[in-house]
Amino acid sequence: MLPEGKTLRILLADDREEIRALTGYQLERDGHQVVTVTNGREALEALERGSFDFVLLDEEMPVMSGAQAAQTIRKNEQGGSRRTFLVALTGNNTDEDQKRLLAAGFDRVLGKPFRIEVLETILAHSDAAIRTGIVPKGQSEADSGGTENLLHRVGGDEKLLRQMIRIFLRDTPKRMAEIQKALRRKDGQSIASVAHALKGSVSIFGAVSAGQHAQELQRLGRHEELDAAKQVYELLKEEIAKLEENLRGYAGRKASPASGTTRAQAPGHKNRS
Amino acid sequence: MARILVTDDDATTRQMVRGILKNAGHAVTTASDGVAALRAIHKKKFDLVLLDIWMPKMTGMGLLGSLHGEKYIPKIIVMTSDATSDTLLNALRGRVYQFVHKPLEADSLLAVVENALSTSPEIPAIEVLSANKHWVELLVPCERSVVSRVQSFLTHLETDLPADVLEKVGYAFRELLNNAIEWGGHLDPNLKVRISYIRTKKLLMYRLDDPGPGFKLEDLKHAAVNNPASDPMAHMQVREEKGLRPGGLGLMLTKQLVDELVYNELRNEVVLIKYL
Repeated sequence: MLPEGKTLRILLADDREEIRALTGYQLERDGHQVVTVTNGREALEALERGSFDFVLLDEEMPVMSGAQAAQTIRKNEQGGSRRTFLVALTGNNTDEDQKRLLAAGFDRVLGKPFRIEVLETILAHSDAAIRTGIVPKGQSEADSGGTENLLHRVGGDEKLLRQMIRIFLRDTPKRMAEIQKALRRKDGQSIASVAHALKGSVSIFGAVSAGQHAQELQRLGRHEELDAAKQVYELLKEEIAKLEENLRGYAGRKASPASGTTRAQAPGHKNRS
Repeated sequence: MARILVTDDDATTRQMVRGILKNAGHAVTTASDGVAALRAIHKKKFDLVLLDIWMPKMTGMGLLGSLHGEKYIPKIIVMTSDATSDTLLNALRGRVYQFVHKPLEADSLLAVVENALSTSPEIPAIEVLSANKHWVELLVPCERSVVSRVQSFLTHLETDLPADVLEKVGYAFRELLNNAIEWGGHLDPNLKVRISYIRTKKLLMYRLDDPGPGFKLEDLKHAAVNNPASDPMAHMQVREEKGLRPGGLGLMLTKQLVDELVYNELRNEVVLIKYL
C-alpha cells in the first residue's frame, strides 16, 4: 500500500509485552522502523530524542496514559510548525470514546484488537496526505458536538462531509413525504423500501434513534402493519427533525482551520457553504 | 489508480464512497440502481464494483444474476446493512469478493478496497460446498487475502451474537485460518483449505482442514505455546529468522479465546468450539 521502499518511523507505546512484540513485528515486516516503549512518559522521552512520522499510543498504560501523553504532545507542539500524527489504540471504542480521544489530540482512534490492514491504510493515506500538503484532520472544535466522528468516518475531508450533508438535507424531506403518501395509500412495500434507504443515510451521520425507527418502519411496512407504522413514522419525524437541525448547524458553522484543506489556508477561513 | 463503480440508491452514500475513493486516487463512476450499474459495466471495464443490495429497478442480487456467465466480471464488494443470511450465502455463490458492513467508514472501506485491488485475478475463487445458515462449507485457496474475505462473510452471518463473543471467535478463527494457509498450504493458491462452519442453538463450531502433512506440537519452536517460562518471547526470534508471519502467539491466545480447540492425530485438521 505504501510506495515501494517507503519507510516510516513509528513510535509504539503499549504496556503489554506481547502487543508490543506483535504489532512491532508486523510493522517492521512491512518495512517500517519501529521504536517501542511501555508508557506515555517513555513516549514523550522518545519524542524528545528523535522525530517520528507516526505515534501509536495505547489508551490505558501505567505511569502516563495515552490520552495524557497526547495532550502533552499537542501542548509542546503549540507555536511550532511540526505536527505529529497520533493514533490511539483502545479497547473502548464507542462513539463517546472516540470523541474523548479525538478531543485529547489524537488524529485517529483504532479499536482493539485492530486489524493490521486498517492501520496500514491509515499509514498509507496519511502519508499521502502529508506528501501532498493536505493536512490530516485538525484538532476538533470544542463545540463541534460529535462532528469530529463524522469527519473521521469520511477520512477527514470536510468538504466531502459538507457535500454529503447538503445531499442529505435535499433528499430527506422528499423521502419523508414519500413515506407519508405511502401510508395514506396503505402501500406497505413502498414504506419499507423508502424507510430502508432512509436508514442507510441517517446511519452515516450516526443518528442511532432515527436509524432504529427507520428500521422498525421498514419491518412494519414489509408486514403491512400500517397502524403501528403510522406511530413509528411520527417518532421518526421527530428524530429526523433533530438530525436535520444538527447538520444544518454544522454546515452553517465556519470550517475548522486544518480540516481537509491545504496548509496554506488561513485559520478561521469561512467556508462558502 | 483503479476504475471503480459505486452502486447505491442513496445519494448521500454514493457521494461519501465516491469522495473517499477519489481522495485515495481512484477513478470513480456511480450508478443509482441495478439497471444503470449493469449498463455501466457493459460499457466500460471496471476493476472493482461496490454494490448495494436493496436498490430499485434491479437489486444487487439481480445484478449478480445478470452477470453470471459473462466473459469478464469485475471483482465485487457487497455493502450490506441488514442482509439476511440467505442473501449473504447467495452473494457468496454469486462470486462476491468480500463484504463490507454499513454504516461505512473510510479507514475500513479503504482497507477492504485495497485488499481487493491488490489480489491477482488469477487466484482461484472461493468454492461454496454447502451454504445454509446452519452449515456453511467452503474450499478456499491458500492465499493471504482470503482470510479477511472469509471473515467478512462469516461474521455477517453472526450478527445476533454479542460483540465480545464475535470478537473472540473472530480472532481465534483468523489465527487458525492463517496457520492453515501458511503452514498447511505454504501460501500456494493452488492448494485449498476446507472450512466448515456449523451453528446450532448451543454452539458455534469451525473446522479447518489444511492440505499439509500435519505437525508435532513439540516441533513448533516458532510458537509461543512452547516458549520456556524464562523467555516468553523466544518464538519471535525464531519466527524472524524463518521469515514467518508473526502469528506464533496465535495458538496460545486461541486456546484462551474459545471453549474447545481439538486437533486430529496428524494435526492438519482442527476444530474450534464456542458454547453459546
